[in-house]
Amino acid sequence: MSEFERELLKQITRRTLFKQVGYGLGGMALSSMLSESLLAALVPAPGQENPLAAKKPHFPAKAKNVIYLFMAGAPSQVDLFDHKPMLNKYDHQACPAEYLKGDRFAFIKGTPKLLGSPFTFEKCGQSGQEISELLPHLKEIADDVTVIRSMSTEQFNHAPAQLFMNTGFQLPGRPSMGSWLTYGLGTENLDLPGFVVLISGMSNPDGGKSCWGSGFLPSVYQGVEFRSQGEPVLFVRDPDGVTREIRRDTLDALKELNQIQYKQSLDPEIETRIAQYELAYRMQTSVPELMDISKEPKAIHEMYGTEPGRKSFANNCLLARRLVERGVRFVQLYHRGWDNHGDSEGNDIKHGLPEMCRQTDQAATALIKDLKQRGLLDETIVVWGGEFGRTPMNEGKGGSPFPGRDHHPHAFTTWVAGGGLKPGLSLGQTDELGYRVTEDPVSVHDLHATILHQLGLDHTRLTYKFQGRNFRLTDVYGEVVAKLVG
Amino acid sequence: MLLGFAVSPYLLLAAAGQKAKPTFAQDVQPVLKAHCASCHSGSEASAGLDLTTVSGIKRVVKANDSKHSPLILRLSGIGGTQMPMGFAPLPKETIDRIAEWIDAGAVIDGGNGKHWAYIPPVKPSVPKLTSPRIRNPIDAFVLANLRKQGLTFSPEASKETLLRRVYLDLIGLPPSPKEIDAFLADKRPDAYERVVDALMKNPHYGERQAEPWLDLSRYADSDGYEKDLNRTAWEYRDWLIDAFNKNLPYNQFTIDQLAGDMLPNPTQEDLIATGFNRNTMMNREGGVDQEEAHFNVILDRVNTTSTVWLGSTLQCARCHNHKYDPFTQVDYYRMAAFFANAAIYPEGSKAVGEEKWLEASIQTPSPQQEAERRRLKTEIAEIERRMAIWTPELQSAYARWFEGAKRGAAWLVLNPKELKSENGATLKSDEFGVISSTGTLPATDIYTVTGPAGLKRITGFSIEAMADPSLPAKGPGRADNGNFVISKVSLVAGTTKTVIASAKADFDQRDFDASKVNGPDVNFGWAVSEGQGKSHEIVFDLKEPVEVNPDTPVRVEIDQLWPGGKHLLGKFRVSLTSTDHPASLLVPGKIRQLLDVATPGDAADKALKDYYLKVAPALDEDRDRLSSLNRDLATLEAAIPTALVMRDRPCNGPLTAYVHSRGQFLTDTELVTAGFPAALSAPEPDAEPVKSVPEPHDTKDPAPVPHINANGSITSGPVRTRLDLAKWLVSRSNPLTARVEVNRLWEQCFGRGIVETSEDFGTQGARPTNQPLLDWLACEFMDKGWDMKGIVRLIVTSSTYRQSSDATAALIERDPQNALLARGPRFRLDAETIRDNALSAAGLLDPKIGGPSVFPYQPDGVWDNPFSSERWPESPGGDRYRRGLYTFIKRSAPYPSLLSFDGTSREECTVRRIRTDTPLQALALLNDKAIFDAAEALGKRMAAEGGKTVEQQVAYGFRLCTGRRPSKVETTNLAALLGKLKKRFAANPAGAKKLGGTPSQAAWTMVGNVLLNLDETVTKG
Repeated sequence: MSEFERELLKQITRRTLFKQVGYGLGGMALSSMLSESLLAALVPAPGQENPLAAKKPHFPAKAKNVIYLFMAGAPSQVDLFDHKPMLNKYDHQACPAEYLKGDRFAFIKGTPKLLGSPFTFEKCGQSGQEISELLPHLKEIADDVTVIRSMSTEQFNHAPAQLFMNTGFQLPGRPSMGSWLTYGLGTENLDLPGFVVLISGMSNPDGGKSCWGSGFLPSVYQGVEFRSQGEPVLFVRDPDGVTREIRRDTLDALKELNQIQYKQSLDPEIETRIAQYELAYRMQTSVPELMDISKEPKAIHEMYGTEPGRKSFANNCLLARRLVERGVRFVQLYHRGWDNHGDSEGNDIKHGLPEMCRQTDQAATALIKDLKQRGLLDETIVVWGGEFGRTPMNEGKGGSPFPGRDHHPHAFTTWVAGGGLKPGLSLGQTDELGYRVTEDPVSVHDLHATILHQLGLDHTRLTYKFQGRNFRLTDVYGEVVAKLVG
Repeated sequence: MLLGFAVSPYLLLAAAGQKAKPTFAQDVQPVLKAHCASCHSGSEASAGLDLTTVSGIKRVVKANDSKHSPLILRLSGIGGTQMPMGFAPLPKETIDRIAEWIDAGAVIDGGNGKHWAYIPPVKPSVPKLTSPRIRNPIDAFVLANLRKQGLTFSPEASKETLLRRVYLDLIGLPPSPKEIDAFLADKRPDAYERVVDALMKNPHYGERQAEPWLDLSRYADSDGYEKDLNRTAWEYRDWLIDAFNKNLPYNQFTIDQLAGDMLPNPTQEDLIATGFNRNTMMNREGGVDQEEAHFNVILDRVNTTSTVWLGSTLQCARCHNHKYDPFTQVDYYRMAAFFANAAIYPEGSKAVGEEKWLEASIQTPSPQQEAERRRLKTEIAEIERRMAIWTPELQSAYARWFEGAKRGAAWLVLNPKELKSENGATLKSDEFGVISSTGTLPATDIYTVTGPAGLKRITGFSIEAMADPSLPAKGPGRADNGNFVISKVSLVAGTTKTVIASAKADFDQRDFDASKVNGPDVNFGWAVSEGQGKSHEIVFDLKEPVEVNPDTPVRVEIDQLWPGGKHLLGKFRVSLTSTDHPASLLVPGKIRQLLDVATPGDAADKALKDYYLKVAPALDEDRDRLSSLNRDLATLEAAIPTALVMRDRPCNGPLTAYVHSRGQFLTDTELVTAGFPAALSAPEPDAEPVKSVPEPHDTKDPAPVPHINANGSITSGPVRTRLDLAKWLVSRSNPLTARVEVNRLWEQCFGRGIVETSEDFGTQGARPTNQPLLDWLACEFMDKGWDMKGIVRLIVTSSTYRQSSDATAALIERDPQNALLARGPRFRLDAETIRDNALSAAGLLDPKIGGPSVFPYQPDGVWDNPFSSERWPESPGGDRYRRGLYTFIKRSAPYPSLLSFDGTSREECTVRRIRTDTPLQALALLNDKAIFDAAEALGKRMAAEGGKTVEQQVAYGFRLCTGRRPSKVETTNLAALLGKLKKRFAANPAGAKKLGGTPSQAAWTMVGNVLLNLDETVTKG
């Protein structure tokens, strides 16, 4: 050991370990090399360093934030993006047996019949991306988005597939992508949570709150739900009758009493608690201010289709912009209702699917335009997609006369925009029925690795040791998709 | 960047002043396994060198001479290709560390290359130290360790601090001021031990001790995943509480939970205990491959069982041999075979993707319920027996009925002279007495039809509901679907009010049969859904026939009161009869056909007699009694709780399971038999005689599980069951079980285990900070018959535990995590205890133990699952203020304030909650209504019970929350706050009113709010 190293090591106290090593993530990756007890002795005790403080990435990042528009229920790729004339040609003819061999379905029984899309497609923009008539707004920004037609997953039921898409594993217990990112990068605005979840649509997603859970990571990294109705964040509002002055009085008294206790016991945890109460007090102002979209200009409301006070995807898109504007690292929107099985008219391909598009197309497009006009699109990755795709075949459950599609894990479409990803690109090909991927396959882990890459993180190095193993968002898989990152 | 990612842990170790000698298990073996073993292991090891064996390692290591050890040379790139071949060289620090180990003698830990935790503990002798602080062997072990570090114990904590600490640790509730005073006044030398003994007998002891086990056993009140439907599982939770209160020895505690169903003549409690492994999640989402879902359930049982009892990460071997610990993939699936034979009860339609594989559950009646059920069943059987006896009277009644039914009753249509609709429908009669209802369609109505009797004797009457094309769905009702509901009817002849004895209809809608008319529940009556478009008839027998003149006015009232609305008759007529028992003569079409063909003794005759027993007027009384008894029985059955239990199918021969390549469900390969991990058990004899498999409780045809096991296809070899697994876990030779459990008990009290990674005792886990202590405790535990209370008592009566938790700056610097225990434990309370402590201080806590889970206040909208209409039904009364462990756990949407304080969703086994400190916790504690209610109650309590002066009152509140009297300055601060708040609220009485009171009351509430948020209140110090 050199004299210099020796000198440096002297300076590495628990409190300053991360700073001295140079950057937090170095410390975090380092943690995976240490036994936990050793780590516990070396890294700051919980809260002594704010675990959400911004940290440097592994390498220079292209993007800072992510907005993930999660279309829970799984949109139909063959009606929106993956145009398959052969399906129309062989509409209502039996799906060839070689496709079906060894395949399992959620609901389809027997030999299903192919189902042509009732919608027309158009090549849009300079890039010539093919987009369905159901997404007229998205067509306008075809050159700003990257359409990945070659996604596939391993799960074909909603809850496991949503967990897989969010955590890289089909069973609960692993941290979600947002948790990994706030763990790895911290967040830019400590007055707000680093990972925010916004929900619209029919109900909570099928995977439950584990979709934004922190798994085995400390719970400080779990997603925080911002709600459209009731309190915007649970318990952020003081009870009626408690004014700001009174809350301040009580917190001042609390602080003094806690400081007396600190002098007695010297437990650093008390200092942390004092700081968290101050942060809570600031959140009581910053959160309602953030959630109040009524003061946005009329043009913005018209662009998104927002109506203040409603629980809607449009409102959540606008909120997502306001959140990343304020430095929130990861914003995830859930909009459930894309499960167009066709067991009734309301959720079939002809009526149900267009309705879902009407609820989301304008606002999702507005979000991209708005981020772009504010110069935020370069540093924000927007992801749009579901947990799997839908079958090129009609489902016909129980002889239903309404056109519908079953769950389909082998091929589906996700689009991304911003964050340095190649705009206007159409990535991947599927076979002539849209059944399986034939070119440039992108797995769920590949998508995760690529998003992490744009944020300056090496997915193989963003690890956390739990039960003796270094876990990653990408499990033991995943490769950065070179064609996407350019 | 000088250090970057390559910083060696050992440099940091040096920096932290904890330079430790390298060891094989910690420093060498993991490196060999991670970087060398992929080529240098097994039968085809590269260069014939197997670095996973001691002999292989000895080939490349020259003890005390790293410079000439091939291992170091090749890792450094000297004398051949640098290893690991094809990969980046290992960091210099790693190689240096191995060299250091070689130069220190290259000792392979334990002398046999085994990781410390896999060698059964041997009871070490207690260090011989002299110190007045040594109260029991724990202190000797801890102090010996401290002295090596040049440290010693901190002074003993104050009596107040100690009392609160031990209350919170043993029963999870704070001591009351009265209990504190009593303890302070008790000057006997063993006053503290007396408190400990009393707390161990306190029934709340079991609640506190059960809490960590609820995390371990992933206990929840819902299934998890998409629908996340509610389930009844609380009997298991109550079993845990009871087991801790009874101090069930840990070996029995283990056997009951893992294999209570396999014990000879298992009791209800034994079965409930197996709920441990029934707490697994269940995916009820449509379209799920049930076998795959069940496969995941089985693997969860393997993972959880090995984490809880072995402190081992066996789950790493699901996909491949464990990378660091000596568990193979075969070991993993041999464990799975113990669980792969569960009895399955498929339910729901497979054709529409809605089949669900359920497992066994049992009813768990209380003794009173059991007695009541026996009484009801006995009486029912008695009546049924009696009703089946063909007495001569019954035989002659049958003969009369037979003739009457053949002919049918003689009916005279009531000719309506007066028609009335209570709520405005237009009733009109035609010349045949057929009445139609038109015009206004009220939600409910009462029709009254009055006309001359036309007969001299009335024995019954009928209402014919008549289909007609003019009605919706052709009637007979006016509802959109052609239905109607008759709720009540009555017949008055002249001034005689009649009583109806029984009713019968030719067609009944399910749950809306003729007997519901005049019943107690207005939600039911007679209706004909699924029989619309056709005419139907209901006949009523009068209890006593009425003698009348033919011109006596007869009034029939038909009440149609169904709350669903608009279910009224559209077209109908009323008829009267003099035939005896006309209702019994109204026979279904099929029976009517038999009347003409039956000859005594043939099948038709028998069918007719069976039918008659169901309608015979002579049996009316018995029949009424029977239906009332059956109703009581159904009500009782619905009230009897259920429990989820383990149950196996029959199996001839050893239990088996497939090894699944890469852990994937569809890739089943080799079939293996149930057995224990080889590294943890003595070698077994090759062939043991097949012993008989325990008699199953159930012999239902098993659902096929082609990808999971092929039970029965291997017919030779030792047969082992979950019972054998449980016994093996708690055998004296098992190196892990006792250590793992005493370590958890230690962690509960000190906030961290002797092995910090209480979930992982493997080579990648933390080393024990004091292995002799851990081993001594583990052996003591087993020596004393796996006595859990005994170990807890040893811990909490030690001097180690009784130290003050106040630190010095030097101690914080030296041992920030308090791993060495030179001071007492100080850490934030668990989520549940924070709640319990607040409710207790406020005097709101309902101390009721056990029973169904409860629903305290929760903000709206937290539950919103797809395909589920279940909503949070806030509990009434005291159930709003029960202890935290009774709060209903919905896995997909856990109770927010528990989750916020690091409570778990119970989707999987959690050994250790990592404590965090966040602003969301501050918000929950400040504003969650449940806690704010406590603030209000605490405020009232201070003002009412605290004393005469404000100082006394705030001091009382402070004591309720923290268990000690405040200092003068603390009192002054609180009093000043109260004064300030009173002024604020006096200036804003409307605000005070919103808080539920006068300015003074509001101020007290807010002082309560502050006290409940004190660091000291939410911390065990």
